[in-house]
Amino acid sequence: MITVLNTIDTGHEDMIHDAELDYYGLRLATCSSDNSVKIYDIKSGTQTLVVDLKGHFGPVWQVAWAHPKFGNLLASCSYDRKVIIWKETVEWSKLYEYTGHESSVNSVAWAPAEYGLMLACCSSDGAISILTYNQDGGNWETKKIPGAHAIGCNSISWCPAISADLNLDPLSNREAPKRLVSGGCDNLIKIWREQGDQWVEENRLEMHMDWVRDVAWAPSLGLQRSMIASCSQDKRVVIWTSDDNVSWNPTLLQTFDDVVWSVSWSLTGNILAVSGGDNKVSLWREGSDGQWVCISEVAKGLGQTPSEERAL
Amino acid sequence: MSVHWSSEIMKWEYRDMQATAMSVDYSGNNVMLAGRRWLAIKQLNLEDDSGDIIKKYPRHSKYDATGAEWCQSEQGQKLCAIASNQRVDVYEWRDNDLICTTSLRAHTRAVSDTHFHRQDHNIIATCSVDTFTHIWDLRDSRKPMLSLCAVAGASQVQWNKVASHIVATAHDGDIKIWDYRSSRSPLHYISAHLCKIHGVDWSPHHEYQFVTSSHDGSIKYFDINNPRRPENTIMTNFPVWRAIYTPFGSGLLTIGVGWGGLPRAEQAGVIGIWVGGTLTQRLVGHTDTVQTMVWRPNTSPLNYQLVTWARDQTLRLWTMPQSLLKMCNHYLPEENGDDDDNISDTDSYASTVSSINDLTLNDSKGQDIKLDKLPHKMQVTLNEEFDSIREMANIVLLEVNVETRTCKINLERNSYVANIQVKFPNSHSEHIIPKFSFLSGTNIDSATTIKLLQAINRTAYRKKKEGHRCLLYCLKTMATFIDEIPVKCSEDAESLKSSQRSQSESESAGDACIPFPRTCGAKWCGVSTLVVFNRPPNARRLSLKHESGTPRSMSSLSLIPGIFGSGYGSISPHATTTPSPTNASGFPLHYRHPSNSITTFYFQDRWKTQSRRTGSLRSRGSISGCVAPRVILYAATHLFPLSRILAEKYVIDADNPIVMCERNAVVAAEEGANGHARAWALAALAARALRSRPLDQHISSEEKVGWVRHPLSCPLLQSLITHYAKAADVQMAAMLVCAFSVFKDNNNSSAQSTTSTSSFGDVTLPYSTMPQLSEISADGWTLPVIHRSNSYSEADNLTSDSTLSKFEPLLTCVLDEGTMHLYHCFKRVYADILHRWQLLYVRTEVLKLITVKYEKHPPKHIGPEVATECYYCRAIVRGAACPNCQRIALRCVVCAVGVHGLACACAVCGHAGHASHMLNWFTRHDTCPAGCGCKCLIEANSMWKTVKFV
Repeated sequence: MITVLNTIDTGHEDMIHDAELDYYGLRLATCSSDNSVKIYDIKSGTQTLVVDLKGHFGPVWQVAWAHPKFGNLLASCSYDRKVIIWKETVEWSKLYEYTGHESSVNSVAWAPAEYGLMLACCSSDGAISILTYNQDGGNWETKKIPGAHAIGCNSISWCPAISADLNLDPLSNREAPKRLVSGGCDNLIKIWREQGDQWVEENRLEMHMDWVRDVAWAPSLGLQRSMIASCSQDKRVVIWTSDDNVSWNPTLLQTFDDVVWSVSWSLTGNILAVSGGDNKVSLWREGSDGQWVCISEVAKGLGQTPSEERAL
Repeated sequence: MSVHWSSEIMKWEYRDMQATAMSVDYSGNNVMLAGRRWLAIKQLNLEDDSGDIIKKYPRHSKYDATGAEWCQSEQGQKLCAIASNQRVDVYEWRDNDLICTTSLRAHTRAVSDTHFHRQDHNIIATCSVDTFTHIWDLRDSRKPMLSLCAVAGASQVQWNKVASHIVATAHDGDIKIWDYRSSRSPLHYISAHLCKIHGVDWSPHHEYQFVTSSHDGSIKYFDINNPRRPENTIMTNFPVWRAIYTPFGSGLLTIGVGWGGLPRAEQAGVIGIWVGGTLTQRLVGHTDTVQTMVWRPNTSPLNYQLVTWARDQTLRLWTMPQSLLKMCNHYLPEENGDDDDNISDTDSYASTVSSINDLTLNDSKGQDIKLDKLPHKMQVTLNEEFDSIREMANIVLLEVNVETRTCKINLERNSYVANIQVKFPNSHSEHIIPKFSFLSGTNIDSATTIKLLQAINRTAYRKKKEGHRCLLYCLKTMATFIDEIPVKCSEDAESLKSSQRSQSESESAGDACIPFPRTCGAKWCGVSTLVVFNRPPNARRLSLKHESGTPRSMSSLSLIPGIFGSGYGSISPHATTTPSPTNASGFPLHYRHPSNSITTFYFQDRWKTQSRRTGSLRSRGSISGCVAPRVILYAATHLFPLSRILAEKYVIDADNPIVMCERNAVVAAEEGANGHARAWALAALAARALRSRPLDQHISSEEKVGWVRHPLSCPLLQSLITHYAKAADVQMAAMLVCAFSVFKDNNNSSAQSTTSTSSFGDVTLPYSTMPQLSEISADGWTLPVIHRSNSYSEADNLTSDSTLSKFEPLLTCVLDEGTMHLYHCFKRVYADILHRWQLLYVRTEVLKLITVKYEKHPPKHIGPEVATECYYCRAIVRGAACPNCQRIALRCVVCAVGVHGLACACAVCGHAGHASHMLNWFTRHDTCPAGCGCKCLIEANSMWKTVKFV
């Protein structure tokens, strides 16, 4: 069911912490403990290094591509407490550097393109920042949620703009209420909603017994139901569902052998990729009875050549 | 890096005092400084920073004051004890004067510490190097009430903060716990440290816990029920002079030598704040060793203050940052209440105390007034509180004492036992909540008890604010909390404990809050690509003692054996630090050298690698001779019912649903998507059924609706769409919606009529005759499509000949608004997928079929608008045809014929024409075809430059 499309030797001098393809799936950005961000052109089994971005002074934790309607923009966040937004004009260069956090910035996420150019980032200092590009002034405006999570905030994800709200224009969704979900070291998942010019805590989800490592809001098809996946140091993955974005019901997906580091939804919002400290990746799909089923386990390790890779 | 530095809010310097001891009185307003030559009383006042000493008394003594202490009970708040050599003098502050009431003389060598009983102000304990600890009743001070005897000299004496009869004494490296009611032998004898113990402090929340600090550089937490080994140990490399609990949550404050990472002389003045075994904050300001630090009594829970006196002869006042309180799991009362409330909240603490306290010299009238203003809502009496819980199930009321305003409660659930003591405050302010503490017998681990306290306090604050009695609700909160603690078998709990311990013992300072780096991950990208990265298969994790599973925080990276130590001046002890820029607050950043980072945690299985490919190690780059990290992209196209080929080949022709369905059925069959082919065939049948209505206009209305309601037409289509949407097949769902986009919702026709008549904004360019930009630009994109309008009615008026097939009423299935919206959302999502596939033209076709409702709030139009002045009747027309004369409003300036299709206009002179004609004209000319002299190409260009398309 899954075939290897491409294997990229990144040439990073240290462990990789994140990798993401751009909107069209043509470019790969990777980031690593060697303080660098690299971008590759991916074409039918080949790879070309486009640029090696150096600007962080600490391990880079996460990268995120913006929607291409804003140009080729990449955001990266690092242990050095900075968020850098890179832009390709003729060459890749720093567009903006955000230094408003007092500790390692652990996660960055671009808002749905309908809202404009907007970036959320969260840090171990417990705060969440929302950066908005102001087209008129050509500057970045910052809103901060201080103390969003005690001890630290580990992950952030946006609610999709497509909404079941009838009053919204289905085409632009500009007026859809902006929501964010965040997970932190206080074992909580919090949902934030923009109200006026403030972000207020709308909901907090309690289930995990240890640090929440990643949260992911599932893409929406416009159906009533929204879903959030969360994973934690307590080795569990929980799927939260809601019909009104107000009351959320948890479903335990699975308790894994080791801590779970990341969860990722497919574009159609029906398949979840889970990975963790045990170096394994598994894919999950919700059956018709509402039970989550593991459909495959990907990638035992990267040492194998693609031909050895089990066809899944 | 996450170690924050902070400095004091107030500072007073008294060089001449030569004081060696300091104490703060019960009210929190008066500070006593005692030295060889002077006794002084100073008032703490944040507003008035005169720094004046209020009273100074000469004291002619050969000896330093080794201790000064105010009695901390309400009745005895005017008493203080000064220890000097073998004697302890008890003074009373009466009428603004310090009078020595009695002298306690029984020790034969220097007195090392004194401590008033926490409740009975007549009792004081003194200890000395002469090995004795005497407990005195001040009413008869000729000889001690009783004497506790040990072998080694005593350095500290401390009454328990919860149970008033327990006292702890420190003798070199040992701790003795006594019950003074039976003084024959100590309750417990704990061999705590190898070196001298400098400080002992009881937990403010637990009867059975205390912390010791020692010359050997360690700080140990003990549980007197399990005295053989410490609950937790913090190792530092320097002697620790004092370690005291924070009154909030789970923090610890320490004075040590050498924690600042500063030159030695300045190190002594640094106070460290530890949370969960990690140094999280440093209080920096004192330039010499801090001798005494005490929490200022009676401050509000929002504003804890620390008072310190150091050898640099300065008295400093510190506040605790909110972030720290939160980190300690301390519950902060919500601040989002109205402001007045909060002011009175914080005031009530100071004022309730100061008004009953004639120690204060300044007139406290103002405060009294404020006190009176405090709302006295229905006060809940103590008896009511106690009565409320008598009938509560599952708890045992062990003891109720109205006199001391305390009660003791036993609660047992799920094999967890919690014994708690509740002490109600003396003052009846609604903002002061009872104090909850844990008694012996509790078997919940201390981290959980702190969280439990947090939960209880939250409930208590809420109930107090509402004016209810709170005890019952607090106990209920507690019961539910305990129910939620997972039940663990004892073995499990043991191993968990040990792993926690080992982790906290050695976690390096800065990175405790930063999550452990991810070295494996999977992300869905694009439409169906899975991006996977993980560690090379031969990377093994260093096995860590007592640990299973991957650690949670980055500080664990410093656990690599053999390199721990050498202090934590740098974030990770072994990290090679590089000079780096400093941030605003001025402390240098240290960055981890790559070779000491995450890679060191996962060492490569070298033997394996070496045996397989000998010699290739050196050339393999820096990751311990292994392959460079890789990223693998997986194509998971078959997991998703989406196909790019189908997307390309599918036909979108909303005007002819039958044709569209039939052709798509063929396309699907060609591509082997048989299921889809059958669905398209079904859809074609349904479309045919809808179409097959007899053209005879005179049939009954029943027959008219016949096919629409037939289960094989509209309901069939709808259930097909729902089926595919549920199976996440957005492609099929959206395509079906596209085929039947003439589905109407109830209000649609009326909506359209309002659209055509509603006036858009007032701001229009005078003569502009541009065709309306499609709504696609509202998405932020200016696509290469400009189409007239999505409102059918207008189009109908314009091209009445061709729209017959398009606007046949027979194809209408009536849908409710919600379904309609949902279908638009499907199209929107599918358009996004098409965009990712870079099928821009197909995407535009799909987007065109999304109608937008404007009836409720006409959207604010941004950018230029199109209005035409009708050629015939000069009416302003915002469409193609003039509503007055029913003719096409726009006439081409080139051919003088009405413009049906694409038009092009000059924004400056307003002359317009057929796009093709205009294009043709301007290839040869640059002036307007109308002969108005306008240089359209040049001038219009510059005009559009300033316009923004959002």
